[in-house]
Amino acid sequence: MYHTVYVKQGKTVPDQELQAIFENLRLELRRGSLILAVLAALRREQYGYTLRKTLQEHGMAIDEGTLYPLLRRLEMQGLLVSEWREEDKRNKRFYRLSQAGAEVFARLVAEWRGIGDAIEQIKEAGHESR
Amino acid sequence: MNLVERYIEAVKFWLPKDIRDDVAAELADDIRSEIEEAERVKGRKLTDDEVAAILKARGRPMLVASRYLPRRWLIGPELFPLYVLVLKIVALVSLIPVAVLFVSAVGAHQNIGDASLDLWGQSWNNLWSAFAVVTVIFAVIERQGMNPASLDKWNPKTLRPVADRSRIPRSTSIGDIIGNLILLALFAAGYLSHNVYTSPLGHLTLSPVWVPFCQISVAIGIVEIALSASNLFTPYWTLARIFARALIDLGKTGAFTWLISTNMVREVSVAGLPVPPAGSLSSASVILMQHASAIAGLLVIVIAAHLIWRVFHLKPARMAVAT
Repeated sequence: MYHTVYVKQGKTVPDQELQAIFENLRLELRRGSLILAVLAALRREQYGYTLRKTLQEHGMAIDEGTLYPLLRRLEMQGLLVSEWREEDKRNKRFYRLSQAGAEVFARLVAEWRGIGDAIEQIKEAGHESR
Repeated sequence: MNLVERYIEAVKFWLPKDIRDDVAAELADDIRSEIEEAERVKGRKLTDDEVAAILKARGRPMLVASRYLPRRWLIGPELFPLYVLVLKIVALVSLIPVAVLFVSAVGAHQNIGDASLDLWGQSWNNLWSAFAVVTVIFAVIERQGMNPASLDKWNPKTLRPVADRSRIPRSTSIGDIIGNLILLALFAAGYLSHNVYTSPLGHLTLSPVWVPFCQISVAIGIVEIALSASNLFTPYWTLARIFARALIDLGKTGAFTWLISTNMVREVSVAGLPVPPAGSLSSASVILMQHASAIAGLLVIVIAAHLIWRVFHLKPARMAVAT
């Protein structure tokens, strides 16, 4: 039996283009992980700016344009609770994980570890079959 | 701080009322926290330029506000491929009457410039109107959530079979060969060597061009038999075959146009029938003669479109892989 295939041969990707592709894929990969990082950080109550700093210090920098809408979404889903309180003579909104948020976080961490293990196994299988 | 207040006000403008104040208060606190930290590091107040740089880094107010809003689109990604397909069909359908009208106008010896301008303006308006209507319909479907693409009720078995567009159907080649063999047989039997036919059924006088037309048709028919036989054994279009096919079709079009432009049916009578029905055939011949160039133009457009379509669907070098 025969079928037709098309071969795109010898395409070399310039370094700059490769870097841009990597950057896009890295952002895509981090986007899902950011939710985990935010939930993890909010097991301790924090307001937006300190949360951003905490994430940045641990290598998960997130810009405010992404963080605040994400916090609102997680709160609307019932995973976070927030409260306006005065601190340093200014009103700040403090966030923390809700009961439901803690449950979802635990399950997501298990899922995340499962993904890591699966990738390791696939990598190993690929290595052995060479 | 004046700059920060102006920035917050600008963001608020783009936000819906129910979240406006809440988002603005949180955003203002975040910006002020950032400014305070920068001032602590520098040990002095920030200048207006430095504050402006912080705000600029956060992005345009409209962009910042948009991140708090649900993602909306006029036509969503699920419906978009169908929308584009419908637009293409609408564009094509809008162009067909324009092409026919243009060819007719040219055939009727109207000024080509005037005819082009009129039709261009008319077709442009028609096209935009049709696009607008299609867009509104799809936007309504999207808005109402009546997305046909997301329906689960479909059956993989009803998907249409894979069409190999560069393959020439054997039935086409066989049909061409049989048709041309019949033509050759009629020619060999002498039926096509005169332009006056008389029988107990009636009488038919054709244009004197009929005889050379038949001779040309037989010559083209022999070439077509050769091409069809070749297509029958290796049924795939190649560039050479596509152009050979187009040349044959152009040859047939040229011969046919020549025939009809000389008033093909000169005299016709059918035994037992009054003159008008038989005469109407003759009248049709006159109408064909009057529009010969328009018909030829239309046929050439169809042949050219077919040629372009085939060239664009020609597959690159084929590679067979055993599985």
